[in-house]
Order: sequence, then C-alpha cells, then structure tokens
Amino acid sequence: MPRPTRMPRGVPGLLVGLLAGCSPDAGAPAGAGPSPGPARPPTADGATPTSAGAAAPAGASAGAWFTQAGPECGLTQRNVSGPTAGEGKRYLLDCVGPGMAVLDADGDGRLDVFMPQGRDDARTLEEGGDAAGGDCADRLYLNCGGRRFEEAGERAGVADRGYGFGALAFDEDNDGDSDLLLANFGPNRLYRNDGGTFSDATAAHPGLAGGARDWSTGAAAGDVDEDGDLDVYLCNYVRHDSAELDARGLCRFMSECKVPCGPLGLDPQPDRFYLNDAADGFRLRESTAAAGLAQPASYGFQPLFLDVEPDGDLDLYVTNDSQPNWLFVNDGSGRFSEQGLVAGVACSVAGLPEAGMGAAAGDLNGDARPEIWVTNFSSQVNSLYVNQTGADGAPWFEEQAQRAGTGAPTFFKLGWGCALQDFDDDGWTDAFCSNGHIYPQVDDCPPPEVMHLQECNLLRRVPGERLLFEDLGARAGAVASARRPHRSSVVADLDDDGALDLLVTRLDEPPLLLWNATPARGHWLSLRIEHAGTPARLAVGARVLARAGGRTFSGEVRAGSSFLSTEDPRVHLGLGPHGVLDRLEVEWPGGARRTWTNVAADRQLILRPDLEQPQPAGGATR
Amino acid sequence: MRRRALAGVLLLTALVGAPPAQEASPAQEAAAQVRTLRKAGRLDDALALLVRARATAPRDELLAGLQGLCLLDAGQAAQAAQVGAEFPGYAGAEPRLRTLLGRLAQRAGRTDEACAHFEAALAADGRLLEPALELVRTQMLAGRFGAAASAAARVEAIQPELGRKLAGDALIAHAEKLMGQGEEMLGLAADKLAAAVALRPDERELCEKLLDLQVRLLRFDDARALAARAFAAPGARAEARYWEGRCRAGQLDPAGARSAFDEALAADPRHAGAALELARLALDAGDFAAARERLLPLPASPRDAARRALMLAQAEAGLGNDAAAEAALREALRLDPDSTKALYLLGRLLVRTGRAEEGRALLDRLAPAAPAPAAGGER
Repeated sequence: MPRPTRMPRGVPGLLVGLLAGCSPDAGAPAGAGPSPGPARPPTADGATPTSAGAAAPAGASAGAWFTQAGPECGLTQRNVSGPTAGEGKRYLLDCVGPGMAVLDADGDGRLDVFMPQGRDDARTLEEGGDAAGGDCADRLYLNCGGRRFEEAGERAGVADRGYGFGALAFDEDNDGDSDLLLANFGPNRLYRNDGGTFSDATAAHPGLAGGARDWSTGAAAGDVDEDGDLDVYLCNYVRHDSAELDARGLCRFMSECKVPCGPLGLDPQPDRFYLNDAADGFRLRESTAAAGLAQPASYGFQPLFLDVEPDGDLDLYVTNDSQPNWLFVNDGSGRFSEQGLVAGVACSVAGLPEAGMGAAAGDLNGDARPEIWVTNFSSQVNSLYVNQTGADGAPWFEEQAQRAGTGAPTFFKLGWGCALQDFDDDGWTDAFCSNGHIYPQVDDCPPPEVMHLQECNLLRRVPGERLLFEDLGARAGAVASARRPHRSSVVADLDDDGALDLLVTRLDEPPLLLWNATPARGHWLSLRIEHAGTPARLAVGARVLARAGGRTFSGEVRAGSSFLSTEDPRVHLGLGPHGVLDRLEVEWPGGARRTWTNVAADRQLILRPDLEQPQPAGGATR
Repeated sequence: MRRRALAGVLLLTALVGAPPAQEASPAQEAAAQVRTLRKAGRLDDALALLVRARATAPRDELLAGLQGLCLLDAGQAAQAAQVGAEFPGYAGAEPRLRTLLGRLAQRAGRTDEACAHFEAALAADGRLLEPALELVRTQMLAGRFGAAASAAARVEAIQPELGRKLAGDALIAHAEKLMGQGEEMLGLAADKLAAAVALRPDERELCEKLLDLQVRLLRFDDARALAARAFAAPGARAEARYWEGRCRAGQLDPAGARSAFDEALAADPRHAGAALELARLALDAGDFAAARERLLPLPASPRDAARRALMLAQAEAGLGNDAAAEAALREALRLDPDSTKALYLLGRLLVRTGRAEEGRALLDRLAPAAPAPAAGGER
C-alpha cells in the first residue's frame, strides 16, 4: 500500500508506535528529537546538548568511544543457531549466524531492527518444514524511542520460521516504505510492507524462494539499469544436507581439531540477480546471465553495490568464502563484466583467494572514490583495497592492509561485519569489524592467538594524508572489551542523536548494542537522500559529494552491506572542524544532480532533487 | 613344498627342544652360495650356479625366486618374467619367490599386487630386507606415503639406520604432496615433517623446512622449541636469532622481529634470510626505499633468489619504477614459473602499463573455474 509521504516524527509518530506495539511509557516524549543516553544525557527539554558539538582535535579524548546498552534496551533475546557451542555444533550452518536489517518498519521515523533467527535443529526444517522447530521466529524490534525497543515480529507479520541469515530492507514496490527480503537456508521470503504490517509476497517473484536445501546469505539492492526501481543481487553459499553431513562426520582444521565440514568440499551454489520491473507489477525476474553476472558457482556471502570509478552507475562487489571475490563493473546500461582480479580486489596481495565474509565501502582518503574493506578468515588480514582508479576509468585498487595498519589488528581474528564510517566525526573515516571464530572447537587448535571468542576492532583513521589507522583498543570502550562470538554488525544512528551507533549480533547470545559516546566529536551531517515526487522514496545509489575547508567528503546510499545486513540508509558525513559546508552536491540514480552551498552542519537533512533547500529531517541538531 | 616342510620340521624341533644337527639339502646349499654371490655382486656366477641347481630341482621355489631376482639385478627383466611365469597365481609362502613376483608386478605397474607379494614374503620371513625395502619403494611409487612410512618401520627392525632414513623419505614425500594440495593441508604436512625431523634430527635443511612451515602455520611454540634444539651451538646464533625474528614477525611484533633480525645480521653479516626479512618489514611499512636498499646488495642465493626478486619488484613498484619492477617480476617468474604472486603482480603491472592482453593472459592462469572439492571438506 503506497504511503504518500514519510511520516514526521512527533505525535503522529508516537501514535504509530502505539498502534504497532511500543508501550506508551517506552517512547520518547512527543516532539523530542534525540534520545537520552548515558554518554550524552539530554537537557531538560529533551534536546541533545549542543556544547558537545564543538569540534575538537581528533582523538584528543581518552574517553571510551562506545558504551554497552543494558537489558533495558529490549534487545535481549538470544540468537538461535542450532545447538549452542557448548552443546556442540556439527554444521557450518549453525556456526555462521545471521545478519540484520535496520529499517523504519512502522513508518514512525525511527529506525527499527529486524533480526533473522536460526533454528534449534536444522533437521526439523529439512524434515518438517516451517511449522516444526522450536523458538525460531525472526524478530522485529520496533524502536520506541528513549533507547528502547520492543519485539513485534508476530504482530508485524515478519516472524518467519525459516533458518534465517540475510536481511535486506529495500523498497521493492516503490511505495516509499521498506520491504524485507529474508535470505534463508530453505525458501527465501519477501515480505511486502503495507503501512507497518507485512505480507508474504514471495510467490509474486518466481524463483526468488530457491530450493529447500539452498542456503542463501547476503543480499543487496540497487537500480542497476536506472529504470526507477530497485533490483536485487542475492548470494548463495552451499547446498546444505544435514543427513549427508552426518554421514560424513566432522572435518579436520589445522590438522588437529575436528570441526564442521565446509565450505570446500561442499556443493557451491550460484548467486542470482533479479531485475525489478515496475511495469510488470514490480516483479523480480531472475536475470543473472542477461545482466552479465553469471559466474561459476561459488561460496557467496555479501554483495555490495557501489560506484567504484565513480562514473554514475552502480557497480557490484561480491565476497566469496575461500574463492576470489568479484567486482562486476556496470557499463552504464545495467550490463556487467567481472574485473575483480585485474582491478585488484579479488584476492590477497599475493594473488591468493581468501575467505571473504563481509564488505564495506567508504572514502578513506578524501578523493571521492570508495575504498573497499573485506573481512576474512583468521590468519588472513582483513583486505583493505585502496581505490586508485585513474582518469581512464578502469577500476584499479591496491591492497594496503599492512601498510595502513589495519592488517595486524585483524590477522588472528575471523571478521564478519564491517564498516568504514567516521565514528568520531573528526573528518576521517574509521574502520570497525566484528569478530569471532566460526569454529567453537578452534581453541583446541594452534596457534593460541586464534580463539573462538574474540573482541571487535575499532580502528581510528589517523588524520593526515598518509593512509594510516591505529587500533583504539581499550579506548574503543565496550567495542573491544568483551571476547564473545560476534558475528554481523550494522552501523546506524538508532537514537537519532547524530552519532553513529553499532549493533552486533552474537552467535547463541543476545545482540550487543553499542551507543556512541565519543566524547569529542566533530561536526557532522546526516543525509536522507530521496527521489523527487510522492511517495517519498529513498534514493538508493545516490552519491553525495561535500566540500569544506578544501577537503572532500563523500558517501553513497546503500541497501545491503556489512555481513548479511542492511545498515542505516542515511549518508553520515563526519566533518571535523567544519561547521558549514561550502558545497553539497548529490547525484541521483538516473543522472539528476543538485548542488547547495553554505549548508550548516550538525543536522539531519532530507535532500531531494525537487527541493530548493535541504529539508530538516526532524532529528538531532546541536 | 620343500620350504613348507622344512618350516614344519623347524617348528617341530622348536617345540620338542634343541635342534639336532642337520645336513642341508643340495638346493639349500646352492641357495646359500647364490645369496653370497649376489651379495658380492657376482651375478653371472650366481646365475650359472642357479641354472645348474634348477636343472635338478626345477620346481624348487627358493631357487626359482633367487634366479628371477638375480636376473632382475642383471637387467634381464624378460628372462626374470619367464621365471615368474612358471608360477602362475602363486599363493605360497616362499619369500624369495614372493619377492620376485612382487618386483615383477611392481615393474608392470601393478602396485597392489606387488605389495601383496612383499607382505607375504615378510609374513614368511620378517628378517628379509629385500621385500621390506621393495614394499617401501612400491608404496612410495603408488603415492601411499603413510603406508610407505609404516613399511619403513619393518626395515628399521632389520637395519635401524636405513629404516629411519626410508621412513624420513616417506614422511618428507608425504609432506610435499600435502603442501601441493593447498593451504588447508599445511597442518598435516607439518605433522609429517615433524615426524621426519624426529627420525633425522641432525638434518639442518629438513629442520629449516619444518621451521618455515611452523611459522607459516603460526605454531610459534613448536618453532621456538625446534630452533632452540637445532641451533643450540654457539656458532648457530645467527640462525637462532633469525628464527626468533620469524616468530616475532608472525606474532605481529615488527619491532621485536627487526631487533632479532638485526642480531642475526650482527652474528653473520651475510645472513641473506635476515636481510630479506628486514626488507619485508620495510615493505610492510610502506618504506620502499629502505626495502630496495636492503635487497639490491643481497647475493642472489638459489634458495632465496625468487623471493628476493619478488620483494625487489614490490619495492620498485612502490617507488614508481615500473620498468625495474617488471624486470624483477620477470626474473621471479623465470626462477619460479608457478609463482602465484609473481603472476599476479606482473599480470596487473602489464595491464596498468598498457599491455592488457599479455597481462590478462597471466592473470587467467590464476583464475579458478570453480571451487575444487577438497579432501574431507577441510579448510
């Protein structure tokens, strides 16, 4: 059901919240913008204190950057992925863990969180279908404001009982709200959002569900042919058959410990690309080969749409476990060619394939070209592909993890979720990754440095021309204080205070919510980029370029990133000491451009090609 | 069968008490002489004697076996095969004849049949060296290195030093086979090499091979223990510090690694390994000029030449010297035509410098068509 416009925050938002499930005392006071929190307590009127916004030298504070949310946040239900590590995990399926999606599910202007759930026992799904199994329904946590969430999956109609992995929030039918594609082991689901409640629309998209033993993983959306609707790339991993694996038993890792088998030796599954056609009732048609995206079956995990050259069209990066990653370059018409190896983003600096897990993109050196960061297996550094595409437009990257200081902190860890974002808004993009070894049994294997439970990494970009990061270690606060079985992560300003928060899944455990408490943040801008017209639609693929003080800041609107996840759809720019942008330019999919000058920072803005001036989004200002 | 009857007599005498003095049969006497002659390398004399002896005992299995073996030793394989053919489907227990039939089967590529004959020969007489050696050899030829190492234990029971050498050879061959199967098999390869080192602890090259693998596998405790033992002598300080540096580098302690490599160079200024590692640390830090400075004066020892060339190429590329980088990469490929890294770097360099076709052809050699199933689904 189309919605005419995005619902503003405030009383109507609270009303929607009430209808959808948040209890009255949970929400923020009507009209309140930012939410209170331990790091930056609100003033009496509920506004975020503005004094904290004064730009400070980067990294000047020794205070912790993130604090952990307590159980009062409501994100308390543990992840179910087969038997727990203590009970013994026999399949890779039970070791990977799900991603999540950040979306405004109920249209109240706040970002909610959808979390797929696994199963107590995969065999109940293979033998008994969706109806069998234990407490395995996917969760939808509605954001009630006040840094509180309330679970409403059943009420909203998204309590899918498949074995969930990937979660893609995207507007499938151009009605302005976020629909949900669930990438499952077993049949995938597409839930269409109809004003805050969802209905299963999978059947409208033949072939999208996949087979009973197909294991789908990450998904991403982008308008690759610029026809005004969002197309979808879906990664598939392996064909999983519990009975076959039971017969095979466990496999050896590092020649010593017995671990679940795979992916090498298991049947890889080909990825699929679905072209959306508004003229055909927004039907997603499988068009992998026609789009030039057909490749031999591999162990796909995460697709990421980005404009690598950048030349105005969306290219596609795909991580593969234990196989070369792919870079599909768009010729501008929606037809792709694979150029990963030549471009230097397929493998390690030694030309060897690695175990690609998650992927993030962001501009690390202010040249308006996105770098790519890929999480890998233990004993492999996370790959940092620095974009050096020249004037000829041929994508060109150099792997520089060791040189840039991101290699050593990530070497012994197995990374999953990842992000390139400016968490302290000092104007330099930082790097985050969530870690935990896939094998619970790995503690029995050498070396002792590679452990099952691992801490996440927050790597601060050292300001300056040289691309260099430092591991924040204890200064990261709750990010790095706990060794747990971390899996995926998303970056989102969940309390709308203008600072980027982190949400991390943990295998067999409740998720970890981390509030940004960076004590000396710089200036920032949060941009929701929309298409012109009604209903208001998020402009996935739009590209932002900002200039201030001689520096360039850039970002893209994405749907599908990190690991099996969808992150905050807004473009967040950390601006350091620059309280006013000299110039702000947006290029929309299809080529429309708009430029604004003298844009004040520290606000959430809506940008549309048909708006003369940026429109305040109603969130935090300072 | 005469041998079987003799065995029965021996068994009986063993059961009833001390053996009475016995006269050897003519065939046994001939066999004893042949064994002496064969051992002395006098194959013609041995064969002449066997022809005479077999004329009076044509079905004697011991004499037939010895004749065939002497013929094989003398390079007369066809005649040996004729002797073997006199006993089609032989399933008896005469160990020399079994050994002959095993060697004939081995020559024909029927390794399973050959092994069965050698096993039968050893079952009849576990003190015989020849079938034990041939069993090891056949298992190695068949690529069954684990079985070869087990068979070497039988040789060790007869000739300890030779057995350990053979077992070590089998373990090293097994490790090399595993290393060729990809990263996921390196752990097993290290285990095999460790077993080989246990058998042949004084072989320096073998120790270094294992140390290198242990560091690659991040088995630093094992590596340090081995290095401490292998390089305990005062004159081996450079090696000891070099491996400490390798461990520290592997443990992401570049400062500690640099210090250890410096100490290795202080102990032995010609230690190419330490100089190479210092260059690698400089490359990792993006200090291409320092890396180049380390690498250029290094003598191109055969062992490190390919690696040196690769690192020099990276340093030159980092400094923007494309032509020098290309020359170094071509040298690295000449030294190691299968080097993935050299193919990758040279392929990309050629594409970047306008020779896309040649570059892509090199890169195509790296691109896998699809995941290859690994043994047991291991990583």
